[in-house]
Amino acid sequence: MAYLEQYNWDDIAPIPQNDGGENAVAPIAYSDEYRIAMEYLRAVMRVNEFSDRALKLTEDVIYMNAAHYTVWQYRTRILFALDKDLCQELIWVEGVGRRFTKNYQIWNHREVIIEKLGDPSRELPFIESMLELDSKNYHVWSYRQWLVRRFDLWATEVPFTDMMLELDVRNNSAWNHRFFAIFGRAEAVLSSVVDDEIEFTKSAIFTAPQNPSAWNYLLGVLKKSGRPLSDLEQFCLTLSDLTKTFPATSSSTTTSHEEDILSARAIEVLAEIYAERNDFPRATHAWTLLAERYDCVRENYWNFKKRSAVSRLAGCA
Amino acid sequence: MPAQTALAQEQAREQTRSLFAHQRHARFFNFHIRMLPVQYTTTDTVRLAFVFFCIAALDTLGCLPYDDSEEKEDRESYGLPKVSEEQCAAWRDWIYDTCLLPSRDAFRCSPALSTGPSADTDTPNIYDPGHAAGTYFALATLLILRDDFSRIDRPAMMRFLSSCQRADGSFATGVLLGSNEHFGERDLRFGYCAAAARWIIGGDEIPGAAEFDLEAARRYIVAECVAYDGGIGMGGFTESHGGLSYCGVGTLELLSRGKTAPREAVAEAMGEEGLQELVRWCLMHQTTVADEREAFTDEEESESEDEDEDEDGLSLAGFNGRFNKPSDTCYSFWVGGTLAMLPSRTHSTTSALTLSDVRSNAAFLLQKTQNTLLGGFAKCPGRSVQPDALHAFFGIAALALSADVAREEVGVEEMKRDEVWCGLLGLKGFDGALCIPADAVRYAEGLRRGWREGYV
Repeated sequence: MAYLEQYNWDDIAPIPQNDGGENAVAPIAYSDEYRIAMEYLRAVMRVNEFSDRALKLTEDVIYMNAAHYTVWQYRTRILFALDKDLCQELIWVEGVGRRFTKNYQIWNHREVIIEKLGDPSRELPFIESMLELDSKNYHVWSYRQWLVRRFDLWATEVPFTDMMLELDVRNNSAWNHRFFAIFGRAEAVLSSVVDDEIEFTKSAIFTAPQNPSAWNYLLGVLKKSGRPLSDLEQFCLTLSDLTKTFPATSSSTTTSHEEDILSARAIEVLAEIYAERNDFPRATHAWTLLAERYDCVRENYWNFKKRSAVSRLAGCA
Repeated sequence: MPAQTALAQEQAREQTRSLFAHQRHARFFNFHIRMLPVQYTTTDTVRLAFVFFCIAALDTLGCLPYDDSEEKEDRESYGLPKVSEEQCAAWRDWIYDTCLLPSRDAFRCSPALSTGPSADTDTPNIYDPGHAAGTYFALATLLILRDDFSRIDRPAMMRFLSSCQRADGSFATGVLLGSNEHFGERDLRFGYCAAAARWIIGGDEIPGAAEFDLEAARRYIVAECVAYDGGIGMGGFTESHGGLSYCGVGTLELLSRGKTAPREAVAEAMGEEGLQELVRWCLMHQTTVADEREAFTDEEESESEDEDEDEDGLSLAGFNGRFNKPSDTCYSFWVGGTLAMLPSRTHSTTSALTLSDVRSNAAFLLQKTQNTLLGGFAKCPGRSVQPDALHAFFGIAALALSADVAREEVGVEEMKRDEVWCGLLGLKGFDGALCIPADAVRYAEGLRRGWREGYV
């Protein structure tokens, strides 16, 4: 309750919450501290007071409820009206960010402050410390994208994702950021860069053959750069050699050749490659393996793929 | 087979043990609608969301006096405590008295924002603007409570909702009064809320009323927010996400609702390839514990003894919201609800939810996140995780969607003999796009018809 201790509020009549009295629906069992702070906040917001005491009050309210949807706008207006030290504000927000890692508003606020300061130098270290707390924090990664675009900080980004993926090759946020870092710029991406990305991702898949993030990235890079899926055929066969189980014998789908199958995702890509070249027996074999053995939770989907292929074939005939 | 044995077997089947703690959930929400514990303080300014969760859950469970659903009889035998008509009227009044702005064109999202000492002396305040999500939650709740919306200025509400749209097609939370300053994050949640609110008040059919830039709204979702993996994120190049995919697809669906066959508009906006990629993206988020065990390092893993089957051999598989994240109750709804809005392919009348494993999903929720003692659902498995009202509502909503698929695919008779399904027969049919029971949507269609004919 620093705002009450440090400042005089005698001239302010707190505004209690109109909660419909006894009819209140889903009322929250507020602490007295929060209830009273909100009563003062309503009173100063009502007259749009820009003062030190109001600034302190927003601080206390934010510490109890950082998700308040207009307290941040109010705080920003006070900061700008009283010409407050914005670097000080950034340091304060860092504490709030660490305390409320799931909060949306903090990042909006930070954008406004950085925009006004025009200096992003504190930001990358702060972001990295936030990612140490939660390496998949959606708001933090989105904020990093804004920052990179706004201040043209592209040079650091691919190496940064190298580091993040080294720590956790399954971090989907880091893969997404890598896609942004490579394809998010205005200029065209060199063919050699695409080659490097494909190789980089293939080796990541070898370390974790089922990792959906790396597979999606690989397929995304291929599509974005207009390369055919069939480029991956050999790679997929290395991970899941379907040639040994095709044509299927009665036992081959269920028992033998387990050691040749490292990745359900490789089987899926092979099925697509076969279907694209109208090799439906092979495609169907791959989908059957997925449905019955290697990806049973999606059995309905793989059977649907089979049915779709059959009806497509019938449609062509 | 002797007739007696067959009869005994029949009786045994009829007493299939239900895994769904229907009564406990009813009690959970009856408790929360009277009092949210102190830890809900961080949700204070989105209080209407929690009012909605409680009332929508009670309705889905069949505890409200309004029940026009086909499955009504299944529920009668549950002996559930019914909320009275008077109570529902008091809830309606409370929403209007504490959250409708004096301009009658929008709702705030919580009584906590109002700076007037009472509704009568309420004067506009810069920091107490209309809130797109508050407006949706209020309208959806009022719809469940069979309100007629006569207290709202519908054309003015369309002006408010349209004012939330930015030039790029996206929607803000609202506009700060006395300025043109949009506030709130740039993501898809508020577009969804605006699209749902527009449909509920028949805003697409009010002659001369303000209207969204529909093309810009669709373009923003399809051209900006679809990620390289086929899912939808909060903007260009952001990570695809279950909740945002739901909001994006829900917006596409609701902006065209009633104008095309169900699911046709979404398929058309996404294109066949985009549709197939999004369907795949959603299905790939259904995860077994084995997937999760591979994905997480030791310190992240919640319960190492978890298996893909429980002790009775039930197969379990929930949904996560991003790749390589753990399953979470609410994504059973966000991703499941997205699938429910998508056709399995263009022009198909079958929802893509039928392509997932709805039974393993339901079993995951029932066996891993349902709290059979306190009622409600927790965010994730684990003995130390308490149920909360948000996850409890989305758990029930996801189960209702799953049960709708099972009614079609498995059949009611078969469901009665299945421990996963039998208890879920008591849930109301559910509308995945508006996120409310289907009979409330039918009521809304009646209101829309009335307005349409009234204007002619």
